[in-house]
Amino acid sequence: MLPILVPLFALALGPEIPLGSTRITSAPYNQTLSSVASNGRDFLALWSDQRNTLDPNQPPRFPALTTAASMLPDNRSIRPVTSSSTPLSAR
Amino acid sequence: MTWTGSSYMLVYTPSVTNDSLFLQRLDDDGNLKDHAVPIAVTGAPVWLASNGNNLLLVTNTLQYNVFLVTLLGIDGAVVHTTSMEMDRATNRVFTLPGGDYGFVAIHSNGCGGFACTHTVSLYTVNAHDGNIAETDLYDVSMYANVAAVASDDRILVALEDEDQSPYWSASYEVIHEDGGVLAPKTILESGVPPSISGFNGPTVGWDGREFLVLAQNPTAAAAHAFRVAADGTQIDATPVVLNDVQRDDGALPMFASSSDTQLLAWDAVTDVFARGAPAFDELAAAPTHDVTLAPALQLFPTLAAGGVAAWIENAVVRGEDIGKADREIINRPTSEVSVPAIAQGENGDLVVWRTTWPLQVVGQRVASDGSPVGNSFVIATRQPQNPQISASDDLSVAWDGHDFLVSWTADGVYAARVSESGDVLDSQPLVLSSVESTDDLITPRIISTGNGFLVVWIDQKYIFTLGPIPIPPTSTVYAARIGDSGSVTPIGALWDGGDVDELVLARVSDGRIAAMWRDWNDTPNWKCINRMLLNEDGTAASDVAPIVCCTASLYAPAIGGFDAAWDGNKLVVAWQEQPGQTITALRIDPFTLAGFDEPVQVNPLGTQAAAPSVVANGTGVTIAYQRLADVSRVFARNLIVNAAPRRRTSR
Repeated sequence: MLPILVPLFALALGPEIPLGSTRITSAPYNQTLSSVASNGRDFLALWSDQRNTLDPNQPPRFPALTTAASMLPDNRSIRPVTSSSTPLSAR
Repeated sequence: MTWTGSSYMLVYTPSVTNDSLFLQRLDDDGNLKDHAVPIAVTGAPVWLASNGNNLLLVTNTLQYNVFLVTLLGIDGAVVHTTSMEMDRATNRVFTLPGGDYGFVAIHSNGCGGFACTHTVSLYTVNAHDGNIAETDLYDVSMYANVAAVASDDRILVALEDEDQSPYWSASYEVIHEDGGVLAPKTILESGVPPSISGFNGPTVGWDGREFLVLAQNPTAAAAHAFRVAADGTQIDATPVVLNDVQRDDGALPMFASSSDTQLLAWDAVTDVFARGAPAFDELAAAPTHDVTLAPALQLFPTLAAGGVAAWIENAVVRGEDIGKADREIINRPTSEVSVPAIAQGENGDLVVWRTTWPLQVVGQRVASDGSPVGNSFVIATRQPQNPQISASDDLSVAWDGHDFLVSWTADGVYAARVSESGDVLDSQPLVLSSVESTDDLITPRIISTGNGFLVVWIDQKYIFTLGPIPIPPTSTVYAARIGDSGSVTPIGALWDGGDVDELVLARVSDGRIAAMWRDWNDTPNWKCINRMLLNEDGTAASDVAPIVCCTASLYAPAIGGFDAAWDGNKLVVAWQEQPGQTITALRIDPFTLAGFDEPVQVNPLGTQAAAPSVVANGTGVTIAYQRLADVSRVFARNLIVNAAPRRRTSR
């Protein structure tokens, strides 16, 4: 019984390299304001968002995300209310 | 959405066709709190308000002019529901000092002769039992719109109307919650609008000191703001004009007030904007903020030999030498720019794309670091007598060591040579093919040969039918050679049959070229990536054989986009598997089609991706793809082959 070397090849993937930078910009596609309210200190805006890129071969579908942003006039931040892909009709 | 004193409360329907309503609690930052609670109320939500102890919800039913006014517990339990007929939905529900709710609305009194009468009424809703008291205020025309807001002890009711048609007017009055008039009706402005097309105003606010009435002046086509003192005295004799706060649908902005800031919010030009100021009189000069900021949306990465990547990012095309700083290559609205194609030249790359208005094929030279060199230039323009460019986005580019060749399809297959310095060598596009109107020419793909280029494309022949099920097209794969001098030599059909809709060319060993296409094949519900080997002159060097096949249905194509490249030893094919939407890569012998390794998933586990692009990198291949998410991003990964000699015993 003789040992022999059999070349077996293994595919390896390098790390994910992001292309470009995470640039914060005006959100793509249409956003439509649904409501805005205040807790007495700052504000929460609610809008429907047509972003939907799960099918890259199709244009964005009907409002798919309802998103809220807490905001102050000089200090705004954005957080999604829901990641649901079902349309919302909210007030 | 409203603030309840401890959290925001949102009411929503799961879909536009679903009549169920849910309450969702949000914290101060907009994060979800608890689970959504179904509520036993129907209709589309119009307004939600809270006095801190319970909620008042107004919904619009599917019945004409029928609204539901529902008092809800803070947990969503229905206390009382009243069905009401209203011509105009109230634009705002307010709370009164004792905790009761109030709103104004317009309802019809019926029609007699040639006239219909309508009345503005104040409704107060008992916060304990939900019973509603109605107080009629005054009659208006059928075109009127009304809005109201409460201060501590009084209510301002604003009106836009055409009661003296064609004269439009904006007015207000201040009343007590029992309907008693504290300040009589005051006309803010009036005029004859250029057309009688209705209006969406007014809206109103209260900043703790003053009221603000925003009227949508149809004569000036702008929002006019008037401040009104708490005692009902008009402060601004002439309006403050707010030109830029009207919403996309023509409606006026929404108001919200905090303890120290008055906010206007509106949507326009695809985004949501807001403007805040301590008091109403400072709103006009306050800066406008774009609220809907988000990471840029990245789509359709494409790679060139040498490692330059290009992709669509929001309204521009950006590029980079992978892993280094990115740069803007094209700045045109994405709706007007096709997915770009890119090819590496001797001293840089050429990026090409097509615009839809005007219809042009455009090029941009790019340095090896992805930065643009010089200005973009037009390669071909559609002229009335030269309709070679359509809005279709199929185009391709390649380099043969001397020049670039750009090819695109429209009513035919066309091409033009471009020098490395950016000179268009064929002012009149080369015509590779022209077809019948029922054909659809797609995916022109180019590969350089020893003395020019080989262009391969798909001709889809459609048969129109009146039946409910469309007949799939039959496809023919054609090829033509382009000589260094621009001479065109048709080769004819390489393959005829199937339903082919994707095409990739890759040079392999022994002077062969692998032509690969995606085909529904002849077997029902079976979709394949097929391969045919070609000689340098474009003639067939093998039969057609499948590289990979997947089951598919009409609504779930098993294989999405794909790409391939020769890694110096084997052919690497990467494709999108649907419906899981992952990118799979496989190394094969292009001649025997034997696989050399197990297929690997390129995008990380647990993610979804599409649009693979593959290019050789000297030690293997690089695969770029679009990671799918609410905001998709593009990534690249190197596929490395590790030769791992393994000890095996032999008898």
